[in-house]
Amino acid sequence: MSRQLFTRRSVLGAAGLGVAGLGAAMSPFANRSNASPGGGAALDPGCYSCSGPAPAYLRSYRQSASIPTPREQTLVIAQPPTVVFDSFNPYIPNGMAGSYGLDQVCFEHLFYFNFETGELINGIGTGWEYNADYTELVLRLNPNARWSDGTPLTADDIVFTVAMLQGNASLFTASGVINNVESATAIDPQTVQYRLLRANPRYHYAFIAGIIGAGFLVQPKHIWENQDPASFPNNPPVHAGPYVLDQVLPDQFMYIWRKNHDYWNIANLNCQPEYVIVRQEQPVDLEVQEFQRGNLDTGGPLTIDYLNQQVIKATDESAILFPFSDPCPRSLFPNFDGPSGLMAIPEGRWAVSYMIDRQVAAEVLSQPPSQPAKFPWAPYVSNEQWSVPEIQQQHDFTFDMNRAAELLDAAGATLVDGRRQLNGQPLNVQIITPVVVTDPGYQIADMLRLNAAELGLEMTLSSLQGGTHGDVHAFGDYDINAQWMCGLVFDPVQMYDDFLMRDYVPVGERAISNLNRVQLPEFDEVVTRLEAADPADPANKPDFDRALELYFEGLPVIPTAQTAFSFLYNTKTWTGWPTPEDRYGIGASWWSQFRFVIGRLQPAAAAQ
Amino acid sequence: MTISVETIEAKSADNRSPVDTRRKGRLNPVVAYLLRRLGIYLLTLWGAITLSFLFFRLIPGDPISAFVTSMESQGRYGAGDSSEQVVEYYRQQFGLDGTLLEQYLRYMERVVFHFDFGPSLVSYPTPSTDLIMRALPWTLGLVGAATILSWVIGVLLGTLLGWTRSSWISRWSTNLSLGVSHIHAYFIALLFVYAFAYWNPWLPASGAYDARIEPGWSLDFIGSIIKHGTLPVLSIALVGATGWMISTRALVVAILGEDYLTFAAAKGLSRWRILTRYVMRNAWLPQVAALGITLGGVVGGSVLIENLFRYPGLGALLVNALGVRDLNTAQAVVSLLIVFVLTANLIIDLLLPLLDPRVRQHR
Amino acid sequence: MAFINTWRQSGQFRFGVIVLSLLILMGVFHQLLIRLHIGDTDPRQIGAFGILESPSWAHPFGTDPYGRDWLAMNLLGLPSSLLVAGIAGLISTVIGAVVGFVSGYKGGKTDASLRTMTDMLLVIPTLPLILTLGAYARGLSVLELALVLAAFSWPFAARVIRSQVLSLRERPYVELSKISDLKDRQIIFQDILPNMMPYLGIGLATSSVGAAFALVGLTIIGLAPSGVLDLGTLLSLALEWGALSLQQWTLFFAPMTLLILLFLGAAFISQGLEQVYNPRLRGQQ
Repeated sequence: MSRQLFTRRSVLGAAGLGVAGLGAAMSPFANRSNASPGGGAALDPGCYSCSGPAPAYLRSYRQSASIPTPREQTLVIAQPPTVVFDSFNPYIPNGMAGSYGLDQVCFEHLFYFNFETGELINGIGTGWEYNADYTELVLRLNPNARWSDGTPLTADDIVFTVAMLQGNASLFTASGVINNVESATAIDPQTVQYRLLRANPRYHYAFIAGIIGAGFLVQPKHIWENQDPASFPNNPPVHAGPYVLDQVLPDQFMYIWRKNHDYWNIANLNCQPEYVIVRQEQPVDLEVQEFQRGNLDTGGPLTIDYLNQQVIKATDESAILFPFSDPCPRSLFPNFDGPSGLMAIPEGRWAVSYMIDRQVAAEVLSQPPSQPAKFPWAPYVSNEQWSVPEIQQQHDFTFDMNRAAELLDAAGATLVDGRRQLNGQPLNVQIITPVVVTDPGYQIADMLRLNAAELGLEMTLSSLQGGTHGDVHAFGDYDINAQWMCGLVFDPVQMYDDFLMRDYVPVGERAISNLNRVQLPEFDEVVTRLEAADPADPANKPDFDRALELYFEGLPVIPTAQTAFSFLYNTKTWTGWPTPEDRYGIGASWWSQFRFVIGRLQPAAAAQ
Repeated sequence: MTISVETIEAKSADNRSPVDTRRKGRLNPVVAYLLRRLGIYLLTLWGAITLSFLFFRLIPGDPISAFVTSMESQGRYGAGDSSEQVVEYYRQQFGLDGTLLEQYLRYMERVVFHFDFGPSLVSYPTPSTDLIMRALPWTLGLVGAATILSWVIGVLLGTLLGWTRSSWISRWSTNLSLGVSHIHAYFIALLFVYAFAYWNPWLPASGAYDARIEPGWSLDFIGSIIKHGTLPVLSIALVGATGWMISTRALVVAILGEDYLTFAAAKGLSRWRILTRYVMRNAWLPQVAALGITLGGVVGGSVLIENLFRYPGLGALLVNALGVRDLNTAQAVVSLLIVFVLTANLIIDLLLPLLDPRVRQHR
Repeated sequence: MAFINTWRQSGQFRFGVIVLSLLILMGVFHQLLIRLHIGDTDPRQIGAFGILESPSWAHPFGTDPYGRDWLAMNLLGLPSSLLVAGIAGLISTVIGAVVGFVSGYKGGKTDASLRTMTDMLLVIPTLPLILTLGAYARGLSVLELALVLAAFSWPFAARVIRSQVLSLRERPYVELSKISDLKDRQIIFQDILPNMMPYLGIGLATSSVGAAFALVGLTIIGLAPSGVLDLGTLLSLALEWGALSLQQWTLFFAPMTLLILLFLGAAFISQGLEQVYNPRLRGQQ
């Protein structure tokens, strides 16, 4: 129901769900059998078929899809609600109709990173090089690149976009350019030279679509140059991707994208669906029926939740369930300046960590089941180089209530009349979360609350709606924020630099980064040094290890469980989806990398 | 529906003042009444809009700042220090800069003279007014159809129930409709959706029309709208109709006890004539007056129904706007509902004297 | 007095009182009932029982996807719904009664200004405002929630009560009291208030139902502040899980039935009172 609207939006916006685990051992389905401590039985999907004959609505009725295009030529995707229909401007509030296709099929990014395979795929770009001290960067473009109106896409467009962002600080993402780039110049139509404000071996991350999309989007100069970018609706959008906008039906909450037969890269990415329709999702009961009738191909993260996916799978063997491990582990962010004062103390933060039963968090509370967090990042093959077991073993994320009690005592949070006090004040640790009560993230925080109560530590947990959570979070009026930790795509500094003292502002002022007011001077020093260091250079590895060690000591964020999702694909109209056996690409239908899945789809009729 | 009966009493008690004006002998009584009624209309409108403005502005927290924070923390590379500028820029765009009084004056000026509620946040920079105009016809159609349907059915059946008041069918139907009238339409809608759209997929449970059909003045399109509107309209109308049934029945029963009916019957008038001539007329007129009062509640209550049916009306817009703290749009929706309710009441108040001679005399 | 009188005269009133009393009893003794039903297990404990079990003797309403007994969850949610409805109804009736009394009894300028204010509030659509507040509020308790709901529903009660006071004021014995120079307070408490009791009862029932539904609205839209587990929350959970496709009807029907009973109970009480005390409706029986 619409109850999920806000969570789902925030999930999409901020979490950037993600990437499946590499390797079959990681499959969230693998360890379901031992997923039931505490007497809870694991769900047996087979049980649905044995509960009686198929319900009436499945037996005979078949209602065709309510779409204005021929079904056999159309890919139908459901997504969480939107109300944006007029604007395709990514630099202004809600300009980018979220997951409604613009980023997936209409934009063309410079590069794409495929987490599933570790492969970097060229978009408009063909490569980049830094100079020796990382103050200059040369970006090369594909000479064939063309906008959807036929105009060639050249270095001029990049230079124009950089200048536009530099000149308009009020545009979203402009700060990424303003704070990093001194100038961009076109050397020739396919080469751009960036001069950076300071040594930065990571500026190219902005060119690569990692989690969902990329930080930097090229705009066509000939369309934008005489427009005010703060109000230009960019409608219809002119971009360089494989599809163009066919029409928007606001009354139907529906976007229709039409294949661009003149797509410049059609030799490499020739998508078979003539149309891609992204429409608003409906109540889950209805979506299950739509899926079973073949009217829906795939959906958003929760369009059809894991339980109902299993119901479908029980009656329809051809449906594909694709387990997906998100890049953003569920985490608790202790606010060092929080009102209780307990989170300023390292022992206090570690006590919280020991009060979390990560096994239960991963295998009982998460649906589909996931894995307990060991490191502050997802267990991808690409992240393995950063995960040092020796360091982790000294600071284990185990569940140990006695240890938690000791640490609380050590932190000075003493037990008086059955309730813990700090400096004579009864403690009340306030947990906030942007997710709804049904979300595993909430349940994990609630487990912490209940466990803390056993040790006499009072905690309150409130689920706040989008905007309100953003406010409380930014202004720092909380002790623990239960959310997810995002950002790491290529190396840990992308995540570490959310905890730096240079971004520190006191409680009561709006923080932009370092929202949990972390103050760890030594960690700070190492990370700042790493910011100018090339992550690929083995000489810097000791510093990365040192940073990890300091991370564990200071614990600026407490990961709990990996975030897992399961995606459902319909094979009635289209085949060629990624499967647990063939994880060739990103299966999340709202990620820009999803175009490569669309590119593999074949009509089901032809396959038979 | 107990309220509607009470409010009519309240109304007739309120309307003593025009008599006072007449005594002073300055103005034509009709003109005086009109002016007074119009004055009250404008005063209430101003007050209600001001109150809702204050309500939205006094809610703690800064919507723009919260919004920008959530945008900036989206994992986009290099979110940085310049977002204060972004916040400042949008604060200005949304009229949230300056003192509360300045904001209020600016807001009223824009709303009154330009009918401009400012840009929306959900679909920036589209003006809130545009979003509302896109959603309004759907809500008006839905609520209008449901209201008319429920009024007609309710008053007809109510008269019948009153006319046959002593039969057991009448008594039981009254009790049944009493029960139904107190179940909120949302619950009825839920049951309908499950029964007639999910379990037996006879009718669509989502949207306003079939996307396969090109919007226009074609039979297909109108048919599709009716088909999609059936469940939401029926659920609002069912609850509404039972309410009208009960209040109409009460009115009819009261009228049947009046002396003039005994007289009319003694005069030998046919039962049919008594029913149409005396009972219906006297029972229906107050119900017209009551119609205006219920409209507001129906429109407000349709928020939930629209949300359930994913109907592209004001309710869906409002809920989405609230999700991102789009004050301009939420405020515009609320203001529009206020204008709607007040105007409906005004029109009915002005029409009533024309319809009902007794009211005219009273004034 | 009024109660016994009405009980004797109105079957609707009897029905309402019985239904509501049963619900209130269940609410008051919910902990005992939960204990009788599932023993010492915390009803909220995740994985306490099997997942999505069909209704059986052990779990008459089945279990939810988190392995919690749905009957116990409903027993847990009932008191919140009752409390919010009751407190909000009471507060708004008190405010409404005071404003309505003063307005109707004093008349003149006091009446005019109070009435204008009430009218202004009346035309502001309540549900959107409550939704807004719900979206922005941070962890409201049951009491705070009730206060918020009451703040928006008193104008209705005020209007109803004012019109009653107006009609009572014109009655001979009140006129007589006025002539005999009794104090306002005496007139109000001796002559008017006793006659107002049934109407206050009607107001209470009506605004309680309103508050209970507003709470459901909040939770259904998903804007309710968290921490309050009420029947509306349970209903919206059932919808979110997909009760139909999971074939777990009880998930949906249990909170729905309880809520409908709550509405009906209060509604029939108010109807019964009205039937007995409102002369216009007296002919109904």
